[in-house]
Parts: sequence; structure tokens; C-alpha cells
Amino acid sequence: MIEQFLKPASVDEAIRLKSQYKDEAVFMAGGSKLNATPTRTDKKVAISLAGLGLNEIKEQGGQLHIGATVSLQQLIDDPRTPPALREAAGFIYSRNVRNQATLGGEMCARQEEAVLLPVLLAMEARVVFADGQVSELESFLDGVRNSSASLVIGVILPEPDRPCATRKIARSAAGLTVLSAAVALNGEVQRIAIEGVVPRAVRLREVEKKGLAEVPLELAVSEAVAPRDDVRGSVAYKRYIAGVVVADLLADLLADRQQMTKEK
Amino acid sequence: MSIRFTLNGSAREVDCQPGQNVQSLLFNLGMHSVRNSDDGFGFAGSDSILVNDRILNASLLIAAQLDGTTVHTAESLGTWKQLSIVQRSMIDTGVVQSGYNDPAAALIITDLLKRHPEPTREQIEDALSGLFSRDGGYQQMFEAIALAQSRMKDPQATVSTVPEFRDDLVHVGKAHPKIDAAKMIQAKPSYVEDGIPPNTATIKMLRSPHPHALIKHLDVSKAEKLPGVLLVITHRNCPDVIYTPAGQTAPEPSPLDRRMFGKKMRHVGDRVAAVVAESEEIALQALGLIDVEYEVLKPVMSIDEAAAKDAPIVHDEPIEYVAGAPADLAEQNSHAAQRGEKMIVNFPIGCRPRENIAAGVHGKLGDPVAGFAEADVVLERTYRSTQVQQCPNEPHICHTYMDGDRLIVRASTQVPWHIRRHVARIVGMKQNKVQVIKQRVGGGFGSKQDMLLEEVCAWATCVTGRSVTFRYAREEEFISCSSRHVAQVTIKIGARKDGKITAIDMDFRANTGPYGNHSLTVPCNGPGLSLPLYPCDNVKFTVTTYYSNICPTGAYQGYGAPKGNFALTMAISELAEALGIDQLAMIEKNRVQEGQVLKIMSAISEGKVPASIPRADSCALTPIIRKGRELIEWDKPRPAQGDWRFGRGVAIIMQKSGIPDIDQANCLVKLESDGTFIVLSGGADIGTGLDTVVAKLTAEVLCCAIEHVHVISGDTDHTLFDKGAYASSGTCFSGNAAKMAAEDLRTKILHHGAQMLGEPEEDVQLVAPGVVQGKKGTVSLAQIAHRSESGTGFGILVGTASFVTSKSCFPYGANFAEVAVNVRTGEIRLEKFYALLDCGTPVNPELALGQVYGATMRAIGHSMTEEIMYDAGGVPLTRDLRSYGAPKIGDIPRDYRAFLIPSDDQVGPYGAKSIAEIGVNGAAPSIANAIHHACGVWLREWHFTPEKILKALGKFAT
Repeated sequence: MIEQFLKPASVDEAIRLKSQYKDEAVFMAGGSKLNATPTRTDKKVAISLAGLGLNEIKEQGGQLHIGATVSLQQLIDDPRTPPALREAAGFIYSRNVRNQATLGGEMCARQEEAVLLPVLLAMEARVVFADGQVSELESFLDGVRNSSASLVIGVILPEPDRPCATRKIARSAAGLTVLSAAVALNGEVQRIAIEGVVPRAVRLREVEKKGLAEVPLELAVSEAVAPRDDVRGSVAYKRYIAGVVVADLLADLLADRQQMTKEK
Repeated sequence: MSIRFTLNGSAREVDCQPGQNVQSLLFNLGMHSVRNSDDGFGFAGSDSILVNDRILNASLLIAAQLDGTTVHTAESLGTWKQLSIVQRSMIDTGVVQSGYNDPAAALIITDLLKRHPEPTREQIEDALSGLFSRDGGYQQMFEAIALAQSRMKDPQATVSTVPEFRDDLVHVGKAHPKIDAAKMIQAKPSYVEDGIPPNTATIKMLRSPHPHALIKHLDVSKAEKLPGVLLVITHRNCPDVIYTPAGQTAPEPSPLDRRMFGKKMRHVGDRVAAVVAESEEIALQALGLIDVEYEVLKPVMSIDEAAAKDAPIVHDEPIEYVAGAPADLAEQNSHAAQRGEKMIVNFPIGCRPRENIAAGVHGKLGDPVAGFAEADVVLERTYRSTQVQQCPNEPHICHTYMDGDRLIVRASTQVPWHIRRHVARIVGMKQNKVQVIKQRVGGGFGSKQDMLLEEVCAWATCVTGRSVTFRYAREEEFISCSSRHVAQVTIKIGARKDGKITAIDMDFRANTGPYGNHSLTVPCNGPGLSLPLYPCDNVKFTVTTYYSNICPTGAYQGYGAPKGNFALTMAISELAEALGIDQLAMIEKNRVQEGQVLKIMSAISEGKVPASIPRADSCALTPIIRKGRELIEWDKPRPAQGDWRFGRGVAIIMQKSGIPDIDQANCLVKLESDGTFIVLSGGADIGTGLDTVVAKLTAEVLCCAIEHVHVISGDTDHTLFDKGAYASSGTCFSGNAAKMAAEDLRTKILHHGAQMLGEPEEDVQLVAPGVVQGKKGTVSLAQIAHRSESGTGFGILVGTASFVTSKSCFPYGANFAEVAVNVRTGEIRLEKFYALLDCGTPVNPELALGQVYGATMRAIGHSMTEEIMYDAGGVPLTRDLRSYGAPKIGDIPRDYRAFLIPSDDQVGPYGAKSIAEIGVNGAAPSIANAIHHACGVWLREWHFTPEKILKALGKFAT
């Protein structure tokens, strides 16, 4: 149980407290995961991020800067949020939870289901740390900058207007997620990201390089993922549906582009 | 730590641990609207609160996060006796049933209307996405919100979505606020948890991690020595009494096959030891100090495994019979395990434990062999189902204490009288020394028909003398509770070319799990409530219920009917396809007709053969099917759109209204000094509105306002015996007892009223508002009551009645479904779902509709998303609501409607029949039929998943 709840007024103070308490302490934003029964923290000290002013969304030089403690519901409600990211935030079904869970929390928690990450990966989001360093999200997820002392203060979407589509397959409206995937188009170049059927959310770079579509893309994705048999479904089902979802997302994006070209 | 926050407008300063859970913090501050349905998993939303105007789950917050915030709970809505517009609208549209998390719903809806005064459907679904509501099926929430919107403009706006019935009656068939709804939606003390005093000890249970094992070593000494531990109960110090947890009328048609604690573990979650401690924290700590070693045995998980030759035996202890012991009993016992344990069978129920059979029965009508010979087409198919759980919002909970030499049991139960009988026997007390008080029940659906924790709690109080409480965690609801029997049903069915069915053979195999509670009666209702829908002269049925090591099963709304009806309906549909006949035409060709004798029911019973052959005396299937066909546009093709294919399906359904010649209900009505009435009903209202039924029936007979009737129910000290809330018996049995008691009292009122008026009894009548009217004058009920109590009076007037019957009373109905199936992704979308039910005269129309929506939604959940799943070793994997697949508002059909189609029945009060259970019986077959119509796939195992669709379509190799 948390025995000390520290409320720093600045990022620097938060970092200082973390270096003081080290592994005894955990950064707490909304607390939707650290306080929930299945993922409850065993740390004794919580360093609250609530007072650090990290709950803002800003446009800067064509990029979108999203603070780490922006809640998922805030993302949905903000008109500047790219549609695919807004949709992905809605993949967390409960509004109660979306009011509490934060973007930073979704990135930093090592969750079995990480439904926001495919969109962020496909949009090549960058993670901003308290020391000013910026890292590719994928590198962050690889653990390069994931020491317990580092504090994520925000995310940058370098091209918030990049065409991107995302989809989640779940067992029920609020039930377990089989997978979520996102596809983005950087000109003609594909960005494909997926989670649920791989050990952690990843870009399918090898598949991206091939520039496939339709059935060949389905088959390539099915081959590229590494699902497990579990309560969410069989390996065969997961391989099949992963390929279908990615191919359909790409088809949707291409159809949208064609439609926009026609309208122009 | 001292935290300061504003709670419902008042400044608060609370000293607490920074990490204290906010749900328990606020509940202990008296905010009982902040309830706990899922132990901090963030799924159920019963703990919804507003923090700085944002809806959050209190269980996902720690106390320190409240510091400096503004908090509102549902207690902030309305004032005493003054409900808010949202609260009133929820009650008036029938949303409030068991009521456990309706305060949370009211808070969420209030917040929604503040943000969006004219919300869209999507905004409503979004607002309620955090709420799991098991009883009402969500649909009436939309109506409540629409009514609240209207009332915000015009406070006098009335509900327009509730139909009325029986113009000749004043109260029956008309909407009226459920009499306990205001109390529940305002979170006034209603449930067991609302009345637990400080200094109450807590029970926590150590449970088996193995599905099948023997305890080889058990040492609780370290736990006993832990400060704060009051008692540790194990097989060594518990009462040596064998019983069944089934809450059924004695002698139970279930094997008595469990002891409070045993040496053999028969499922993951079976009881090893109970710690009674000063606090939950100490109890949990003590559980970790118990040393236990197991001899792990091979588990038996499926029906096929249980039936296999050389299968491990789940019940290997000696068997005793109270009556009718089989001739080979000694042989059965010759190799029994001698652990000092035994099992008892009250009377023959086909129990053969050495073959892993808990119960079995078979029967025949006509000549099935000849019937199949007569058929042009004969099909044989096997249908399977998985294991589903009731998931009441309020977990099982009990509170016991001693009042002098009497044991008081405050329970969330459907069967207070059966609980008293069981508990008294187990703890060794006389029944007049045990009082069971049923509190409001936050959802039961059959799971609270069994005794799952009351006897342990009672024994803890008997030994320690302390006030003790025992509450299930949500995980225990899944692994140590009750669930629906798993079924495997093989149907052989034959028909002539014209579609007329000539013979049916139903082999119903059920998996009861570790214990045999309801092992005869649940599976018997498989054929019992499906075969009579299609009267056929040549029928054979076999029912076999197997023991296994899955988590326990028991009573679940619908009993065996959903399984039997799924198999039979699907077999008839497959037969129709083989014959080239439309599914609905096939049903019409073979279905039951009003007035028809149901010969097969003379062969199927719940432990007692009926005295006379039941008939379908009232049956509104003709208008139901006509209306359903029109609504769903049965004959209108719906072309494919892209990868989406559309299809329609139907299933007819039936249920009973209590068990003739087995069950009984009693009631007493007394006239108070001012002419009002108090009704003492044995019936157990578990949120269905039974107390409101009783009040309405009493007011109807005694020509008074419903407000002049107060109902006390479910209290074994202060009311008369009643079988309890099961078998859809409430309205028919408990309602009839109330009506008859009121009629008995009316006779006495008229007698004395006539005397006071000096007129002959035949010249007086009771008229509204509570007046005895003669030809010469009138005398009020208050005047009669006053006279009765005076020194020269005739004594207070009381009416009593006992209701039993040999007659049956069947509600009927149909479910029409339209689905869209994506043949590329396997997704199934419920486009339309219409539930049409004939419950005779609906006594509470808005509540009856709520019952239909709720039961149907549970059945849709079972059909589409819910399943208790196990790993290869028999360990359950789905131990929380989310992984189990509990449906939320986003899972309801897009166009979801319920209709009440009346009929006139002679058994129930004012023609009323039951409504609570029937709604669960038809979703699976109607949806499966629609899926086949859409994409040509017969799904013979429910639930129906995209993966099963894709597999059947050959989309991937397995």
C-alpha cells in the first residue's frame, strides 16, 4: 500500500524525489493501473504527477505536443487530436477509466493490452523525457530509455495530419482485446503497427518494406505476428484476423485518399 | 495523513492512510452509494463518483488523490423523500430492479445530462460505458433518460413507454413505482452490507488451487496464533453434517454430498480453511500462514471424461439412502474411500457416484421407434454449451450475530426459509432459535438460491459469539459459487415431408461439477421446458448429470430450459432446412396450441410425478408469432452489403410458474387501527418487484390505495413459510397467497362491517377508498379497525392463506433476432432483437418489461461473449468480469424491444403468470438460426464467436 504520497510542484522536484526514493517510489499520474487490483503497485511511495502541468495539448510548428498526464478522455474531447488517436483512446471502453487513465500511463505501463500504442507507432510518435531528451517511441518501448529514474513528460506527433487508421478486435464491447492494429501512410510508404499478437506493440517493418496490399499483405502480416493460444482465441484465428485487419485498414486509407483526390 | 476535500458540498477532513482505497473510505463515511462489485478491477462502475466533475471509479483511487478535490456521490442527488428528476425517471421506466448500482447509474446519467442536455444514443452509451448492470439489460436506461429530458422541460411529464392492461382493475396491470425503489436508488440502508456494525469479525477462505486433490497435511496453528485471529475452521472442527447447498423444498431432490469442510478437494476454489479474524487484513495475512499439502489427483473436466471407463471418481465416499436404497448399494460401497466422510441420497434420483453420475432419469411417450419409421427425414445432432455465471452486481454476502441465545442471519438470499432449515440443522439449533432476515438482494438470478456462505458465517458466530460477516470477492463468484450446468444434448428427430414431427429422442447430458445441487431438477427442465413446446406423440428422453471438477454449478435463471430449448429448436431448424421448409413455418406446423394437453409433462417431473397431466390453458403464441413476424419483416429479403450478410431467426419459449404439488406460499394480512394494512409475506423479493406485486394484489382486493399497504417479507420470524424466489413462483404462488389472504380478510371486514351497519352481509360490499358500503349507510375501514381493538371489540382482523396447487401455469413467448455476419472477419452484429412474452396479466408492466430486457440480455451475453474458461489442467482462467466477457451497454442489440402480449390464465392471481425466467430461454437459438440464415453456418456450440464463424466458413486451417 502507498504510505507516502508526494506532490511535487515541478518536474525537477519530481525527478529529485525519484532519485531520493529510488525504487521505493513510483510516479503516479491518474492511478488507473497502479491502484487497480490486477496491476496494483507494491511500492510504498507515490510521486504524483498531477501538479506538474503536463496535462496540455499544444500545436508547435506543425507538430502536436501532448502532455503525459493528458487523460484519454481529454484526448477524445480535444479537436486537435488526430482521428485515429481519438479512436484508439476510445478503445479503452469505460469512460470512467478514460477520465483517469493518461497517455503517459498507457505508454509506460507494461500492459498485456496496449491498444493506444499501434497508432502512436504508426504515426512515429516521439517520447519526451524530463531531461529534454527525445526518443522514438519504438526505442522507448524497447527499453532504451526505460530506467526507473526517467520520467516521460509528453509525446510529440511529428505529423499529426498523417493519414492513419486503427482498429481493435475484442471479445465484447468492454472485453479482452484480441489485437489492435494501425496503419499510416507517409506518402506511399506504409507504417504498420500491431499489438496483442506479438510480445509487445511493434512496427512490422519487414512487412512495411514490401509495400503489399490485399491478400499478399494479409498473408505477410499473418506470417509476421507471433500469437499465443489463450482465452482470446487460437493461434490460427489470431494470425488470420491480424492479416485481415491490417489489409482492411490499408484499403480504407487508400480508398479515403482516392475519395479525397476525386473531391479535389 | 490528513486529507481535506469537499464531499457533497460539505468540507471534510479525514485522517487515513494515503493509500487507502477510496471506495471503502467513502462507504465508511456513510456514502453507501459507492458500492463494490469487482474489487478494484475498474469494470463494474458500482463505485462511480464525481471528482472535480469527472466520473471516476472510486476503487481505482487512493485517498491521497482526493486531497483538495470536490467529490460528489449519488447521495448528492435529491433529498429525503424528494427524488431527483433522473432518479424518478429511472424508477418510472422500470430501470430499478435489484438496485445495487442504480445510484451510480443515476449519478452517471445526471452528469451526462449536464454535459449533453439532448444526448445522442452514442453519447448515452459512452456515458454508461463504465457501468456493468446485470439486472436490467440497459435498454430502459434510454427510456429513463428520455423521460428525464422531458421532465427537465415539464416536471409533470409522464412515462409513455409503459403499456397498461386490464381496464377492469385499478392497480393490477398499471405502472406504479416499485415500492422499494426510492430507498434503493437513494442508497438508503437496504442490503446486507449496509447494516454491518463496527467490531464485526470477517471471514476469508483458503481455497484449493487444484481441481481434484486430497488434503494430506493441514496445519493451521500459525494462523491461529496470529493476533486478531478468532477462529480457523477446517474439516477437523466443523460440524460433522452432510448436506446439499441447494435451497429446495425438503426432502431435496439433490444428493447431500458436501460437508462444510472436507478432506477431498473437488474444484479449484473448494474450501480448505476459513479464517475468522478481527479484520480482513488480518484474515488475509492468516491465510498465508496455513500450511497445506495436497495429493493432486487427475481432474475430470468434461462430460465425456466423466463418463469414460476408468475415469477418476469425484465422489468416492460411502453412500447412504434415506429412502429407496438401490439393491446394489452394498456393492457400490464396497470400494468406497474411508476418510470419515459420506454422502446421503434422500430418495432415488438415479444417483450413481461410482460412475460419476449425480442424477439421472428417463422417460417415454408413445412409440418412438414407430415414429422414426414413419418419418421421411431423420436427423441426429449434438449441441453443446459452455459454462456461464450469474454475475449479480452484489456479490454473495452474509452477516450473522447472536441475539441472546438466538442466531440472527442477515442474508442476501432467494430462500430465507430453506437457509433457516439448513443452518439450524448444521449448527445444531432449533429453528425457533434461528432467524433469517432476507435483506434487499442486489441480484440473484438463481445463484442465491443456494447456501454458499451462510452456514460458515453462522458457525463462526456460534463458536465465537461474535458478529461475523462473510462476503465473496468477485473471483469467488466465479470459482466457488454457482453457475449454469454445462450441457451436451443429442437430439434425434424425424418428420414427414410436410414438416410434421413424428418422433423425438433427446439425450440430455449435464455437467454438474463437484457437487450435485440441482443435479436432477436443472437438467430435467431441459427436456421438461422444451419438448412441451412441440407436442409429439412419440418421444423418448434421457437425462444424465455427471460429476466433474469444473467450478460448481447450480440454479441459474431458466434452469435447464435454455439448453434444452437451444438443442431442440436448432434440431427442428436443421430438419426444416433438410425438408426445404421455412423455419417459422416448421414451428407453426408443430408448436403447442392453447388448450392442448401436454402429455410429455406427465413423464418429466422435478422429483414428483404431477397429479394430473398439465395443459396449456393459456397460450398467446398465436398473436406473439403474428406480431413478431411483422416486426422483424420475416418475409422481406435483406441483401448483402459488402462482407456483411443478414439473417433472421426465431425461437419459441416457455417456462413454468412455480412447481405444482411441491411448493407452497403463505401470507398474512392485518388491518391496522387507521384502516391501513400490513402484509406479512413469506415471499422473497430479489429485485423482481414481488413486494410490489403483493402490495398491488392486496390493494386490489381490499379496494385501497397501494400506499395503504405495507409489505414485510422474507423474514422467518415475522412472516409465514414460503418456498422462496425460484422456479418463477413469485407472482403465482406468493402472489396468490397474498390475494387469498386479502380475500380472507375482506370476508371478515364485510362480516363485521355489516354488523356495524346493522345490515345483512349479502347487502354490503367493500368499495374504494376503503369503505364498507351497505344499502343504508357506510362504515370505513378505520372505524371497523377501531371497533375491533376496543375493550368490547371483536379482536383485530387478520386474513391468512396458504397457496398450493396441482395445476400448472405456463408463460410463453418468442424471440426474433436479426443479425449481420461479416464473412471476412466473423463479426456478429445484433441488428434487431424482439422479445415477445405472454405472462398472462402483467401485474407490474414496467417491471415486467425490465425483467424481459434483463433476462434476454443475460441470455445474449451467454450466447455471444460469456464463458468460464479453463486451462488444460482444469484451472479456471476467467476470474473477473472482463475476461469472463460480461456484456455492457455496447453489447445490446441496436434495435432492442420487449413486448407483453397478454393471455388470461386461471391459476395465477388475476390471470398473471411468471415473467422472470422465461426471458433467458430463447436468445441462443434465435441468434444461431439468424446466423445460419445469414451465412449458412450451423453453430452447434454456444456461445457464438467470430472465431467459430470463421472456422465454419473455412477461413483458416486449424
